[in-house]
Amino acid sequence: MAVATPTKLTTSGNGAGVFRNNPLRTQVMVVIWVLVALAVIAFLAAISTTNARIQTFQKIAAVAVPSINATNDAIQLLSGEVSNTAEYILAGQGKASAGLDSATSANDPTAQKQAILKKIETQRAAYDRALQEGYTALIGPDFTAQPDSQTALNYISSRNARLHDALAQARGLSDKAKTPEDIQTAIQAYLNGQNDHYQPVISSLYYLRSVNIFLLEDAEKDATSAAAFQQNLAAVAMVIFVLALLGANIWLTLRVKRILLPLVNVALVAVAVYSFFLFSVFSTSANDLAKVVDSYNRTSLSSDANLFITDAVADQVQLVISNDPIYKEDLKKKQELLLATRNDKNELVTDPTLLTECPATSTARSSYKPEGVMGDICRNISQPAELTAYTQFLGGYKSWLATNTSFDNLVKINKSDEALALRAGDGAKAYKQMSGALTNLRDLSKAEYKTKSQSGTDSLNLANTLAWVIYPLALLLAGLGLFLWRREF
Amino acid sequence: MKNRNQTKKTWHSVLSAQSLILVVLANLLLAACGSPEATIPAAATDIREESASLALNQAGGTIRIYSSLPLTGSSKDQSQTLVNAMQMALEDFGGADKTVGGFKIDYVSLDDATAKAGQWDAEQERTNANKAVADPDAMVYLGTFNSGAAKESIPILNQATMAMISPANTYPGLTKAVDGVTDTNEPKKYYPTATRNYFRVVSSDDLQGPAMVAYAATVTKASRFFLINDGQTYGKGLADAINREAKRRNLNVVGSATIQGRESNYRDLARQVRAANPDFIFFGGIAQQQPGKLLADIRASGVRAPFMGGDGINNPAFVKEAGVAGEGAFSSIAGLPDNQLPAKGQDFLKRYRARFGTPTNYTIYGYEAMAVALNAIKSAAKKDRKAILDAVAKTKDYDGLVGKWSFDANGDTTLTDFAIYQIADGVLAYRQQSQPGK
Repeated sequence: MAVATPTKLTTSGNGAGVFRNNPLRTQVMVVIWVLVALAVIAFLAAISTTNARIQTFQKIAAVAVPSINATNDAIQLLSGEVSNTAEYILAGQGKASAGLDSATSANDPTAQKQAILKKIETQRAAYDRALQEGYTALIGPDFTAQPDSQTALNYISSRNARLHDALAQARGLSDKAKTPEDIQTAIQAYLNGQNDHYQPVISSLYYLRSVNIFLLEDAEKDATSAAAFQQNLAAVAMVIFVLALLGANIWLTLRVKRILLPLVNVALVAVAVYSFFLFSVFSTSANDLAKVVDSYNRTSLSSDANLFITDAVADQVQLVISNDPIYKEDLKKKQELLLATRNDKNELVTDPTLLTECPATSTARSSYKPEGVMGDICRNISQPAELTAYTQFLGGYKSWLATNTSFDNLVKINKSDEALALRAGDGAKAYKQMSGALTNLRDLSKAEYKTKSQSGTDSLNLANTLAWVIYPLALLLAGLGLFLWRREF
Repeated sequence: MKNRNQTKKTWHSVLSAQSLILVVLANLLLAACGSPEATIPAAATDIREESASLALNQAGGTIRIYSSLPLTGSSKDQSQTLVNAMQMALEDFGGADKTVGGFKIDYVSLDDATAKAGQWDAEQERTNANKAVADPDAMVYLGTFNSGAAKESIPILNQATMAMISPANTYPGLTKAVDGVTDTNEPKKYYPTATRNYFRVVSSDDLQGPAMVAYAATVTKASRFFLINDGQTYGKGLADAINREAKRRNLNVVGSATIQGRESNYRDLARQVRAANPDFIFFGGIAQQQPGKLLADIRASGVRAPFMGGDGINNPAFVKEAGVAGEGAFSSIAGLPDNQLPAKGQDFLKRYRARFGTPTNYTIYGYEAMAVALNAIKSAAKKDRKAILDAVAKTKDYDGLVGKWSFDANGDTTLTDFAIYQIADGVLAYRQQSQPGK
């Protein structure tokens, strides 16, 4: 870079000399340099803090994300296992089951049971694997909530073992059943096991997941608050340097009748531009971090939605085999937790005609009325592909609600076999459509997490790296420029 | 009409006298056998003996007692234990042919829940009350389980001068006005005739709330409370009662919130709790409104303050829904633990277990409600709603299964004991008694 050395000074009389010797000049210069130095130090400190917090966020995310994945997987797999055991008992009674492999003949109960058993074994193995793989993450050092992670995992392990035994016993009793009383015994064993042990495991997995979501969210809040602080400092620095640039230029222009003061200008312009760049980067990065956490929260919501629909289809079987209305009530609750809206009396209802599509614009989505996890998902959708998946889910849900109404009516008039056939036909199709859409939503959220996490981290890293170059360089240039033009002061 | 009624009454009297003579003979036989009588409370035996003498000189007939409890949905199992207990009381007091005070007692259990609602239903409760009112033989109405349901049936029964005895309602506004807890014009609006016809054998929440605060303030030395309720009649009433008691004791309520019971998570509320930094958290509400999930999120946020609810969460449904996060959570319930009940109370539970299996916390009150009704029928000694209502209201120093108690002027029991339970390894473990104001 060329340096313009002043060879001939143009003065405007005695004013410069007077000012140069004026103690006020020294004081003003000292104050300016101190202010600039403090701004730079504060800025670098803020960068350092932000760096530290972002690193903390990344460290926590590296633990929390696999933990959330593990618990989401475990919840889904366990609900699948319980639901499939109900299907197994149904198949044992020679009734239509929705848990069948499509290649299996519906007229061959033995083949049906084997197919379902294979699914159950796969789910059980995957459940164990999910928790084993997530174990290190789940007992991470940042887990300071009480009950602690080890206590929670032990609690889950003991209840899960009891649940597993109860389900296996129910299947065994179902296999050996020869009389209606035997079948009833098997059903009772299944229902007791499910009633006693399933919910405590699911709830405890929810707790573990919630701890990790909190860790993620809290780390995100720390990082974004640090970024916001740095963003504000960038704004202040930008203003200071722009004013200094303008002030120096105007003053020097008046004094030396020259505008070109290359070093000072380059330094000030560089810092001003960089400050503006930082302002923009931190603003975007804070949004990215928030979106990172939002996207991960959506994976949990999608997982919960999957849990609710799986539990709901299991409730249908449990209602038929037990004839206990408690399962009808549970099914209703699952629907309300999944997606419901309020009627004129402010009651939660799942009337398909009242369930509206998720709006296309983010503004309209933010005021989307329906409640439940799917309502939350809609309000947080951030990409068109998610909207498509949501529409696919809603279509499936409305179909399933319609089949469920018919299912109820058939059960009421004691046509359970026809009800189960409907469930295994149109009901199963609707379930698969919902489940597929939810899996898609979850994958999209995970992908968004990765993308936003990466872009946010990259831009922050770039900004931070540049800071260590730009500021020393700007100070050097400004100092050198002012030194070269010192006689003008 | 008049003649037809008189004819019916005379005919019933003959039948009743005959049946009571049979009862006396049956009782003599049972007494000779020994063992069945040994387990029947003394009061029940007295009633039967007096019934026999009454039968000789007084017109009888059939008196119908209705109960209205939620027998569909999640409360079904609990309500069924109350029905079982009521039947046991009738058998104890009325013997094999169920005759008390010279009247053949016909007990009819009604369901005030619907499959559609999945819980108690206002319209169904009104239907039940109207059914009882329209039945000329109906003299007493036992119920309801839910306080909201009682709001529907009390006015209907009040206009028919029919006694209503609840084994489970705890909302204060049904019987008394409590500042800051009950709504305007409560309880007057439930009694259009201005005469009280409603009674309950369990303590109300205006006592439960103070008993809970007493435990928190004296045992755990807490002074900064956060109150959460589920927005329903019971939950809001209990939270209001706690708030009132906290203020009375000059303790801080550092925050409060209402949940709807169907939220996908409670993380925002948990943050609110964490920011308020309470040293005790109270919940007013029932297990079906997701207090377990709420507690899981509160614990996950890092808050370690003790969590306590009322009888609405003193049940296995809450224990299961809270999972590991529920460990250590407290709940209160009116009355005494099994091992501190009077001998006849413990004996009842023993007999109940042998016959029906595990009772619930309200089972014993089902028995108590029926026993009070039968005592009143015996005292009134006539098939007259007003006379029986008056007899119920005069219940004093009744030596029941849960202790010696009376109905106060509002129709509330004079018992004020509450048992405090804590979840330990997935079960509700009794800790200690607590009383309001202590």
